[in-house]
Amino acid sequence: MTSLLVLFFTAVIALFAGLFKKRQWLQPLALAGTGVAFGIALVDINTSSAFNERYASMLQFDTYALAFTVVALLATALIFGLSRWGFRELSDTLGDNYALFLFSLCGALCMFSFTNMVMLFLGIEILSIPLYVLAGSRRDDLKSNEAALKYFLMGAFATGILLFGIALVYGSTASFDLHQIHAVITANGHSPNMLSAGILLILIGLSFKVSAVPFHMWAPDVYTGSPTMITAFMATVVKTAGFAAFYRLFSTAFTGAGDFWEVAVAMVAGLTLVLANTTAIFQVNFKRMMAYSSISHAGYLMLAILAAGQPGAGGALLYYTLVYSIATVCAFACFLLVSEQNLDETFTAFNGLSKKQPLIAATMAVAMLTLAGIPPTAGFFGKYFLFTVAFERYPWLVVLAVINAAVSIYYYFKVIIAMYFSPEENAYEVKIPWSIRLTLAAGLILIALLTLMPSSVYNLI
Amino acid sequence: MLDVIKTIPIEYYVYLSSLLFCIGVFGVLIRRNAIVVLMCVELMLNAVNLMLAAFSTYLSDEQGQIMVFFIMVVAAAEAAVGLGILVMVFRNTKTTDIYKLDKLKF
Repeated sequence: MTSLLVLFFTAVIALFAGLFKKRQWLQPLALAGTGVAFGIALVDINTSSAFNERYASMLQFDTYALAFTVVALLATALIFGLSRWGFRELSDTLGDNYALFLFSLCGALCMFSFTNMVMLFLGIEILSIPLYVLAGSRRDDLKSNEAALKYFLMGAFATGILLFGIALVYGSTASFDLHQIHAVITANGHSPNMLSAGILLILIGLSFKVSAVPFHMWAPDVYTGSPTMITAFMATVVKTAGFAAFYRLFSTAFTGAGDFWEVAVAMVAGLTLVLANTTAIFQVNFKRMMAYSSISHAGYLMLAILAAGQPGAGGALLYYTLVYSIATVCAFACFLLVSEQNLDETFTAFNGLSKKQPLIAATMAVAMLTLAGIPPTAGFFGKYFLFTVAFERYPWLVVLAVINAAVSIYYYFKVIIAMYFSPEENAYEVKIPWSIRLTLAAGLILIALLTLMPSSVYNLI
Repeated sequence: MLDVIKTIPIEYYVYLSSLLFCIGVFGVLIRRNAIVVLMCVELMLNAVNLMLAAFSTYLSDEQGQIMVFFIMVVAAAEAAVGLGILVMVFRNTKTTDIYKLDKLKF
C-alpha cells in the first residue's frame, strides 16, 4: 500500500516537474520514486502492518503481491535507467511520459494485490489507459498512431468482455469479493451455467490482456509500432501484471468451480505455444520477433495458471516473470542502441556487432540464451519450475511446451549468429552512453544472481 | 420503485443486456469506422451496467450499483483518451477507416 502511494505521488511530482521545465530532475526523480517504493516493498514482505490490513477487503499487500511488486519495480527501474537516452528526443512531453509510466505502474500494483473484482477492473484500466497514450506518444509517426489506435480498440473491447464476465459472476454469487465468491462456489459444489459463462468471459478478457492466442492479433502490431521504450514496458510490466492478476483471481476465487476453465486454459496454452513459436521463426523485424516471443512466453506462463493453487505454482510464476522481464529489458536496451544508431529494425542491424561492441553483443547473447532457456541460464530454471508444477496433471501440454522451447532456440539464435558470425556490412558507429552501460551491468548482475540462487525466489511464495 | 423493477423477471434483464452486448461485439468486429467501433464498445459497457443494476436490485445488494459508477467513470476516461487518439490519427491520415491503417502488416 505504501509503495503504491509513493509511486502515485512521484508521478504527480513528475507531472509538475515537466510543467515547470525541470528536464534534468525527471530521471533521478523517477528512479528515486521507484527505488523508495522498492525498498518499502522489500521491508514489507516479512512484516504485516496495520495500515495494509485496513484496506484488506479491497487491496491486500500479502507476500504474493509484494513479490510481484518487486518484479514490476525492478523492470521499471531498468527501463528508467535507459530513459535519459531513450527519451532524448522528447522535449515538452518528457514529464508526461515519466508520469504516465508511473501511473501505469500504480495500476499494475492494484492488479497484484486486489481481493475484490472491482479493484481488478480498476487496476487493469489504470494500467491500460496510460499505455494507450504512451503507445501513440510519437504523434507524427503513422506507425505509432496505428499502434495506439489498435491497442486502444482491442483493450477497450477486452475490458467490455471482462466486465460482462464479472457481471455474470456477480449475478450468480452475489459478491465481488474473491473469498466470498470462492465460498459460494464451494458451498454449491457445482457451477451454474451463468457462473461458468462468466468465468469463461473473464478468461477471454484476461487472455486479451496477456496476449494469448487466439486473442493475440493486436500484440505484434502494437509492439512493433510503439516506441521501443514503451514496447519494453509492455512486454515486461504489463505481461507480469496480467499473469499475476490472472493467477490471483483463478487460484483464490475459481478453484473448485469445475474443470471446464482448466480445459479452456490448456487449449489456449497449447495454441499459444504452437502458433507463436512457428510464426516467430519467419519474422525479419527484431521487434516483431520479440512480440511473438512474448506471446510464446504467455503460453509457458499459462502452465502456472493450470496448476493454480498447488504448492510451487506461484513461486514458479514469480521466478519466470522476473527472469523474463529482466532478460527482455536487456534485449530491448541493446536493440534500442543498435537500431537507433543504424536506423534498421531487422536482424541485419546486428551483423558483426561482436567486433564493434563486444560488451553489447555479449549482453544481447546472454539475454537471448536466457529467453531461449538454454541449461545453465536462469531461463532454464524458470521453464523447469513451470514444467514441474504442470507435469502431474497435464503431461501432454508439458511435452508440447518442451518441443516448442526447442523450436524457439532457432529464432533466438538468429540474433546471436548475426552478431558473431555474420560479416560486418555497414560502417556505422555504435556509441554507448554511460547510463545504458550501468543499466545493462545491473541487468546482467540480476540475471547472474537469479541463475546462482533460483530457489530463494522460487520459495518466496 | 424497486417493486416496479421486480415486476419484470430477472431473466428478461439478462436476455436484454446479453442482446445489447452481442450487438456491441458484432459492431466492433464488422464496422470499419473507428468512431462507430468506439460507440459499440460503449454499448457493450452499458449492457454490463444494465445487467449489474438489475442483479443489484434482485439480490438486494448495493455493490453492483457502486460498480456501475466505477464503470461509468472508466468509460468516460477511456472515451476521452480514445477520442484523443482518433483526432491524432485523423490529423495524420485524414481518415477514420480502420482498414486503411495497415502500415504494420507484413
